Amino acid sequence: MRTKGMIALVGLLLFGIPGSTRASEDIRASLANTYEQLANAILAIKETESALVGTMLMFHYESAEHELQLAMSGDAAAKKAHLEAAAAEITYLANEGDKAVQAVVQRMLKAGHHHHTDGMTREDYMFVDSVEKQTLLALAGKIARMDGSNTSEVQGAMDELTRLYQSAVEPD
Amino acid sequence: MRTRFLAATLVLGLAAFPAARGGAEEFRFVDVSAQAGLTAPTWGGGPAKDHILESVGTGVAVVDLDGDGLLDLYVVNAWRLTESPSAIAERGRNRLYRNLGDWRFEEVPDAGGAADTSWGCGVCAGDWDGDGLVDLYVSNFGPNRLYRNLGGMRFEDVSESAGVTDAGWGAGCAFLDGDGDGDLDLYVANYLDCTVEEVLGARRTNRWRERLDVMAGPFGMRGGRDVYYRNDGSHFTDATVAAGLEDVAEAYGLGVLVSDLDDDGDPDLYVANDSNANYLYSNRGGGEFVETGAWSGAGFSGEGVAQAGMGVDAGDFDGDLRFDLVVTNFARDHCTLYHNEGDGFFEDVSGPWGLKEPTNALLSWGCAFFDADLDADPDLLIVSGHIYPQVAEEPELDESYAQPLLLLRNDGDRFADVSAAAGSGLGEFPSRGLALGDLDGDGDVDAVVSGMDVPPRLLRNDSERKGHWLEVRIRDAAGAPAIHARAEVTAGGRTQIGEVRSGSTYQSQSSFDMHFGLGDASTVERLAVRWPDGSTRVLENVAADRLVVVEPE
Repeated sequence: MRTKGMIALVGLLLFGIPGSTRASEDIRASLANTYEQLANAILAIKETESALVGTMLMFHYESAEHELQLAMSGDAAAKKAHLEAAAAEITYLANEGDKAVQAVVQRMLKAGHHHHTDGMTREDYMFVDSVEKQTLLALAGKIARMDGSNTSEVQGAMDELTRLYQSAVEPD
Repeated sequence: MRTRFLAATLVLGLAAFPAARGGAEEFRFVDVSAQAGLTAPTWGGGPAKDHILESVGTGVAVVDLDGDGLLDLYVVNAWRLTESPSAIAERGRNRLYRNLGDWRFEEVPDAGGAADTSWGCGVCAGDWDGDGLVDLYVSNFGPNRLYRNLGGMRFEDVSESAGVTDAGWGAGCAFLDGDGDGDLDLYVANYLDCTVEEVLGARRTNRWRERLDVMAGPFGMRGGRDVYYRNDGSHFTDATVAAGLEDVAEAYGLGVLVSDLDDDGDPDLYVANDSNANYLYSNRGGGEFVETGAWSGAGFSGEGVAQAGMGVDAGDFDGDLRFDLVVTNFARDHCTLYHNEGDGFFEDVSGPWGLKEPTNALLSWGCAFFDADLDADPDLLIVSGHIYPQVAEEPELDESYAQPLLLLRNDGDRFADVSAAAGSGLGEFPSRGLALGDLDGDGDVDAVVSGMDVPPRLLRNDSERKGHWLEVRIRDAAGAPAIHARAEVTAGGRTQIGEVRSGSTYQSQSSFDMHFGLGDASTVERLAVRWPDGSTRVLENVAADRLVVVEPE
């Protein structure tokens, strides 16, 4: 209610009190024009957000892939560290962002800014649905359990990661 | 050798295998709060619970604080608020009850110096200064308190000088030797950031099941960042970031468990987060932790969903000599049982082990594994209570504010709900904290449950005895509870494990003594103890039905 009052006040300051029919039509046109510009901005922001989250997914996917490649070389201790790092990156992919990003998303939810929720926990995702998330988390666990000695096993996990990533980012 | 054995090991014989007090009931828990003198309520804000601070409740500790061998009670308290206008009506003070034996408790004036009147939340215990006396740490909404035990039920507030006040909204906490240097560090979960003004000015703006106006949160509120303090001798230093424990997700931390979950000899850390993935911090040695919750299987439910974690406990429910986890969650979601698969990995087995159905309707908090019937496997006690008192106004919702306590009997491959036949003590209660201990020294485990705006419920275990038992008290070189020490008890060809823990369940502290049901075995063939420094002792052919105190050689 307070917001509506403020909008009305801003409108009066911008356009004045309607007088003639012509003035009234000018106001209508200005309102529509302003709203269109606002809509363009909102839609641009939404596209930007989508592109940003898509970039995050790509970053975590490529980071995970890089760690898996490193795990296929190096000594045993390094292999294990790289596999765990890959697993962590995949969990960030599954959650559409690392923990710092998750904190941001959490705060936006209260303001009603969300995309779709899974209906159980109010978790909110733009690309990764709940089935894909579960599958990615399972893959992360599988990779973290590996010791890296079996290169074909790691390569297989990398292939599965690529398939899951592409499935998540492709348009529904 | 024999002399040294006797000198180092004090074996206290207690009542041998007495019959159950209650008669025919397999399980029987009796509320003895009033006769024990626990009549003072613990406050949790106003009746309508307009702000989420008014929902989380307070914890309780069951610890021998005066060294007389009997478990005393320390009860954390919060504030009572009025409605319309919302104002502070009473700043509740924490209370300390000295155990006089035979279910008689005497309140210690001013809690011996530990009667803080802050808005209290959680409590944990440990001998952080190495003087052999158990100290208390109390988490508050506002600055936390560290009470140094001076002996004789006297405490000194050393929070400021020790550097552990942390002005956030503290919840679960635990002492742990995170860096393996022999002294106890401290972890404190913080729930969310808000002010007293926000609490008093809160309005019920959320809709619950499209019918009721209820408090807002925690979603949309800024989470508090957990804190890890490294013990530098007489002072603590905030080492949260250096140790790899930075809570960048600002998750709503509540329950804290410290346990050697990967059995590598150092303590790992588990944090139950409300509405966020839970954290599992794997201790990699040298004071370095790595957060493995998301890919270890212990951060989410088996469906990959972040639940609303409240309390947490660890116990080996399937006898594979690994500590498994139970985590309590919000209403209309089940408590989660994580089976420890080894090497730091977990699997959600809530479904096959029978936890989903009995826990789904409840909003649960404190939880603890213990062998209620002494049949040599741990059962499970879960206490619950809704956060919205308004649910009582809508019978069609089929929810209650006060909720029944849940006793789940371990049947070997599944937990069975035996609450209904376990006595009136498990009846509906607005539960929050839970702490366990053998308060009457009769060889079974009793319980204390803290509630919302009511006195704590003190539960005497009068369950039928299905077997023998052994209690194990492990001390460190200074004579204090040897936190992180692990015991393996082999009796009747079966081996069980236990661990000395600070913190866990929900914002509470259970007895440091380990309790093992032994079934038909009247002798423990082998009791192996491992201290956190790696030293070990093995006792053989220990008679059952007694408390064994084990000290380092």
